[in-house]
Amino acid sequence: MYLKAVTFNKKLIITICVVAVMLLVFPHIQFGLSDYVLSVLTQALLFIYLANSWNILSGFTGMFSLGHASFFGIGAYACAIMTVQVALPGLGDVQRYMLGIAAGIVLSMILAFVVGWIATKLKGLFFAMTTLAMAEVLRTFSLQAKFTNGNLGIIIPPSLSVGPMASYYIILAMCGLAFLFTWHLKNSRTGRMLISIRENENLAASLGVNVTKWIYVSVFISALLATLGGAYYPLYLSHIEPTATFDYSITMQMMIVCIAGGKGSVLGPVLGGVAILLNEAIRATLTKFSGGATSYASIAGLLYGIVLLLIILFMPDGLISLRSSIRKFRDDRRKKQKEALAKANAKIS
Amino acid sequence: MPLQIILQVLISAICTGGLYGLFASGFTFQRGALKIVDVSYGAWLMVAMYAMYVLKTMLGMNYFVALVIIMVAYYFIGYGMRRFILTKCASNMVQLVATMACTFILQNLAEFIFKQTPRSTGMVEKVVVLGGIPVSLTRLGMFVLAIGVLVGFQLFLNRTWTGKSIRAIVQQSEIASIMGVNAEKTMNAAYGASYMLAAIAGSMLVVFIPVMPYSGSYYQTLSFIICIAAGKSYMRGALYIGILIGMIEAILQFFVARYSMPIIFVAFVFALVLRPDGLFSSKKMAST
Amino acid sequence: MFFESKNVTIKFGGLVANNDVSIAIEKGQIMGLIGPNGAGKSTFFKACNGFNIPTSGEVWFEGKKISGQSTWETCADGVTSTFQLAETFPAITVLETVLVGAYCRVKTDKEAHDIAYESLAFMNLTDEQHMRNNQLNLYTRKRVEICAALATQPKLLLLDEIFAGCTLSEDEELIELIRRLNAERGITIFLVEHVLKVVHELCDQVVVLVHGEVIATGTPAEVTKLPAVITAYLGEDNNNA
Repeated sequence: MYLKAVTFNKKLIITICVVAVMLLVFPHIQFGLSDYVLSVLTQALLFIYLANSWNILSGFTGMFSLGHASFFGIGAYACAIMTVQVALPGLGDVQRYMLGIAAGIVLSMILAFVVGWIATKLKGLFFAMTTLAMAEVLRTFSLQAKFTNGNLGIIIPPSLSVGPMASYYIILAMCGLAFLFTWHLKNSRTGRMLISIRENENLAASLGVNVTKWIYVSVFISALLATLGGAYYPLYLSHIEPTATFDYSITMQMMIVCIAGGKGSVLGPVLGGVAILLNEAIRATLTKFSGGATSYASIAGLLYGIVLLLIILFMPDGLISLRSSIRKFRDDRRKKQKEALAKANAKIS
Repeated sequence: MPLQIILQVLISAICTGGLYGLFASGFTFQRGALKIVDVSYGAWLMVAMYAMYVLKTMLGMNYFVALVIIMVAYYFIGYGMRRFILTKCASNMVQLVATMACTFILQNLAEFIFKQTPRSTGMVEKVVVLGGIPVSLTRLGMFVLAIGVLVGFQLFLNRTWTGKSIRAIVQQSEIASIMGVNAEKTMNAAYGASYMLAAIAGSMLVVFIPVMPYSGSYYQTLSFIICIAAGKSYMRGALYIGILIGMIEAILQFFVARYSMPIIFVAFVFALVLRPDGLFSSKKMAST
Repeated sequence: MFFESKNVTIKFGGLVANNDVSIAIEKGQIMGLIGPNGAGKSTFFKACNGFNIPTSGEVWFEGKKISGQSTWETCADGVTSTFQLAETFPAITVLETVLVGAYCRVKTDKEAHDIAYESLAFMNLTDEQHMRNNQLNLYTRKRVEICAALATQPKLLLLDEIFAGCTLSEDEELIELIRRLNAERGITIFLVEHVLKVVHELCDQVVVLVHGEVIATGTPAEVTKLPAVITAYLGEDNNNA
């Protein structure tokens, strides 16, 4: 009845289950390359997760947030700082890390409140640019301020780093949960409220949707998810620095995963993750050929940009709309052929 | 603090602010007059800075020759941006994402070619002492040039046939084309002209500020703030606010160097909420 | 009084859109608001549903002041409105649209779905429930909008020129629909209309707004005979009275 999402048909659900099983089992299969591939998959999963969080604010509610990296960075830095910089005698690293998560969430919620307030006052473009400026400000701030250690970043003590296998499973679990959460959200009352705001704010308001309240809810949920993603980061990477956290390249990667897959859809981020994997493959190949020159990270960035540009121009609804785009293309062509045929017939008779 | 130092800093700040204003006016023109969102403008500014670096420092060209070359190139770049990318975008938000992608492409390209080392032109500023205050003639000259360019641009928009037709097209493109205006070509040309402003601003900025691949984002953020604060289509407002921001930035740099950007940003958000139509606009907030 | 506006004046800068507009509607009525273009009808409507704030004066509904509060609060109070140019949620389906309205009153999914299906059935839109709004023609989109409004279980429904762009048969259907909404659901209707035939057939009472001021109130038959009203619509020379 109202599990319309399930009419996504059984084939899709089976595919998802198969893929999920593959992902679960994968790390145990040795390929020789598997360490590197594992880290690529982990990275991709992280961005799929983050794309999910971005999707809620920007895809479902329609408020393009260009500064989402802010919440991610706050999560990462709060944990890093709590664990390393703040003197808390008597507490082990792990406990301080947990405190860090809590602190990160509190800070993010404060920022989310500000962003929510801005979202109710500024629409569309203004909002997007303001969030962009905000992330930029946070990045500059983290580069300058003393307790974030500026450019050098913060080194995470080994007691916190869980190793590649565990990192992989943790982010896989987070991804899975986020996916289920988003799926549930889309068909719930909250989801419908958010989507109505995206589609037509005035109509939503006249149908009783408390636009202000739901905008705040959307920002809070989205920010919370992103912050948790940031809290995960120190477990995976042993070095937290401003460019890897607040830079808008992080937001870009979130966005490209989500837009490439199809923003506003539940599967979108997952499909978009494919884009990241392909990109990584290309970058790895290039790096191998050039003998390990690190400047090829820029090539990866370059490719992201080009892919995003092409997708937004020619397939703005993302890969998920591929099937309907092809069908539409075929229908249009058939219609044109029919018209041409009819014209030719008319001329003859 | 000796008056001389204050004055020196202020004058220098005003000159830099003038450049900010020049650049921000271009962005304001695009947003307000042409109704286009282009966040790659900052990145292109960075490219212009690199271009001047390459032409002058690496190839040893004369500054003014290089400037002209870059300006001409940027006219075509702007023309192309609109024709090939911006008009293919379905909406303003799509333009936003597309130009973000462009920014990304340009930044990574710059990083790939030039790496992260700051590049500067190594030009020495001509300093003259006026009444006990050292004043950089170079900066002053650039300020004058920036004002001149802006005034010229305004005159172009208000007095010439092309300029007026641009405004006509934006307001009513169908009627404008009946009147014999080739809308698309004119708009592309206008866009190219706005990019020339970036060319000039970039070529001048790189004389006293070294350029790095990510420099552009700072100026993009600034010009966005200036554009909104001035009021979406008010180019002269953009100049004034640019100068104001230049001064604020200099003052803040002096005292709380590291936090100048966040402070400006917070102030901007407040200003925006209180006067959404811009600091200079006389429009009252409609009750709707 | 079920619904009344008390001396509502709306000014935009120097322009007076509504001047001292006082209208009273009784429960169960179908009230029409007519007047030539630019009379300020939609502006007044927007003051009733929260999109405009009156410069002075108030709007009261069931003993509560509703002017000046946000649109969704007014909807929760029982006043739902539709828009002049069939507003819609383009990318989602009819069912999803109506659900948005349904969630106005209830919290659980089951209840919302029940209300939604019921509203769809009332409006004969059950067949179209899985089609996307942007695939529908204008007339169907209008009905979807009304259906969603119905799902909010309103006591008073504000309809802004819903007959615009309708063919004759569509007119008939809509008239019948509004009658049913009023008779079967007990919804009071306040509609802005240009099409005088509709006004004659549907409205119990009519208010005439010209240049932002109320110049007449009464039954359609009474009001359309008044010289002032004829002048307002047709100009001085055509006044035969």
